[in-house]
Amino acid sequence: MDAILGVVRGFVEHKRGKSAEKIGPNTALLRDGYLDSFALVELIAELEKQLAISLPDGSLIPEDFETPDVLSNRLQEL
Amino acid sequence: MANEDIISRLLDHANRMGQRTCVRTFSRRTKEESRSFAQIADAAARAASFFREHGLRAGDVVVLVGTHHIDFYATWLGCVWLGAIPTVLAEPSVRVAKEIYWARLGELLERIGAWGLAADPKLKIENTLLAVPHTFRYDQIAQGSGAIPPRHVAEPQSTMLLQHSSGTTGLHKGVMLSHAAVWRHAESYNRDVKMAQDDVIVSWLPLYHDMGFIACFVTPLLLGVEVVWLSPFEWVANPALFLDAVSRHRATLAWLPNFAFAFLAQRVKSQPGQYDLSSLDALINCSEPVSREAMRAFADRFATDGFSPSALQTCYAMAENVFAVTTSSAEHPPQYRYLDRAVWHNEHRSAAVDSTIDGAVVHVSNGKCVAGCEVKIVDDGGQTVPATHAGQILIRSPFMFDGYFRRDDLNNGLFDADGFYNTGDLGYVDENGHVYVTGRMKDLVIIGGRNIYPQDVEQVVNQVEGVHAGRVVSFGVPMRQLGTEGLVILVESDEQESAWEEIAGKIRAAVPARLDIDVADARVVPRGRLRKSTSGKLARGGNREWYLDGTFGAIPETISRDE
Repeated sequence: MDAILGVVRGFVEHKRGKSAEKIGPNTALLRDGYLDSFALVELIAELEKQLAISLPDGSLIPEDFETPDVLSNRLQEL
Repeated sequence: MANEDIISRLLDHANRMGQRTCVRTFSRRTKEESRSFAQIADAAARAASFFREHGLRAGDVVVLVGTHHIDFYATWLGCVWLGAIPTVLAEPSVRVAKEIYWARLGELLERIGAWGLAADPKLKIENTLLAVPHTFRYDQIAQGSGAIPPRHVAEPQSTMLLQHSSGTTGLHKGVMLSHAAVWRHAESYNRDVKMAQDDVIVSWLPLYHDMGFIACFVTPLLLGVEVVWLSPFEWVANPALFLDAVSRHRATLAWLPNFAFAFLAQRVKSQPGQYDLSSLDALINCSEPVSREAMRAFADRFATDGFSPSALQTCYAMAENVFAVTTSSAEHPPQYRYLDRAVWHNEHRSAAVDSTIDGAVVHVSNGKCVAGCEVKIVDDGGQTVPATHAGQILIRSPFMFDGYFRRDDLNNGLFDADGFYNTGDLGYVDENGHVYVTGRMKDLVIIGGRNIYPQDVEQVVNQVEGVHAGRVVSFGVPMRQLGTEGLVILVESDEQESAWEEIAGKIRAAVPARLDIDVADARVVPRGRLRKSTSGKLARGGNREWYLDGTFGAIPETISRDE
């Protein structure tokens, strides 16, 4: 979980240019404007790189990015 | 006349080529399903029996929510079978709070007096917020109940469907389209598109938007063309799905909004030759301003995958005209017109120059009028202007809408004395009849093909804590790489400057949550700094100009200063 939170925060800070201080496990990432749907492809690539994982194509949809917690659970299923 | 009816057409396809595929889903997440024309015709009849059993009658309005489920087809057709009027609305998204979504949908259902709601079985319907007599799931409806009812014989001029064009205020404007209009449009548009029964369409476009709905659902049903159907949600997180679907099913036709060309070119990681796009006869750029850069980026990126640049086409469309107003085609491909920058800016005239001239502006044409449709360009006084002169775009066609459903407040004066409709867009026609859409009169913002009304954004932002109500403007700016527009919000506040970043953060959170719109930039500017028009109202255009100039501070790199 911490690792995922770290990737998300880093992504929001560096790629989106927004302050990520307040992002916690239950922050609504899309609803609160930290991410938009077009950024998800890049975030997926970032997760793969930093967590050294390989996600099957198409395994994630916007709903899976609702919060870092939801994302973490979804990644564990995969 | 009988053939103008979509149900007659469907039954005809079922008789003549019943085993051919009507629709197949394509997904990495869910089981793929397909239905033949015969199966769709049967399911439509069963859906009609279900609706009849529950009392649906001709003229009743049924709202459909959630589109990527195979029984959507039967549900929608079952309504039309009985002469009821279906309308497709956007489904809930992860960005909008559930209670807000259902409350707003409830308001709309009440205002249009909907008979019922039909929904994707995956959606949890919050019934408590809906004042609607009937709610059913697509799969339930498609199972049917009781005898197959006789088909309603529709008058060609009667309303077949409502299109609630995407957007926010737009949600409350249901464009009324008759059976005759929908059929005539299909016939007319198809003289250029030339889709035939051996074509295959690939689409990830949402069906609550005219491009997905008319081009990739209604028209292929009328003409008997197969559709490979992708979920928009799956596509946005995995855009390569589209390329995969084209390769696997040898697709010949697809429609994309401009941003998708850039998005695919930039975001898809693949080896040269990984996809086979050689089957594509036409890839049509429509529903937001077309840019040469986005189309060129796509063509360059996928040249090694067999994509032929001659497949690139452009189109100008709107729900009020069913869909297409103009289109390019193999016979009259998109024009890249280089023009003199000074003449364009000072005289609003497109003076063609050599492409090598430094600083020339380039416009991409949106094609020529589809058969039967006329475009007239007028100045602010309503006088027709000569070719190459820019002005307001008026259109007239045999397939125009019949007004907005239950919106008599909007329905007076929609058409001028000659039957022309003012589109609110600006542009010109060149010496050879190619139409160029270059801007719009209204402050509409188009993000990823979706219409956003700034007044809706401003209304939401007005309620954000710390914002001085009434001192809010929003407008669209070009996004350098995305090939679409970004939404900018500027506000004034009575709070100390130290609180401004927090207020901006609240705005960035409030807008997606309430309106499902991305915010490119939101900032607080010092009191009294927002520009007003002569009437004392905040001027969107004027503040936009200042914002792009850097008057309110440096702008993000993703935003382009050039028009």
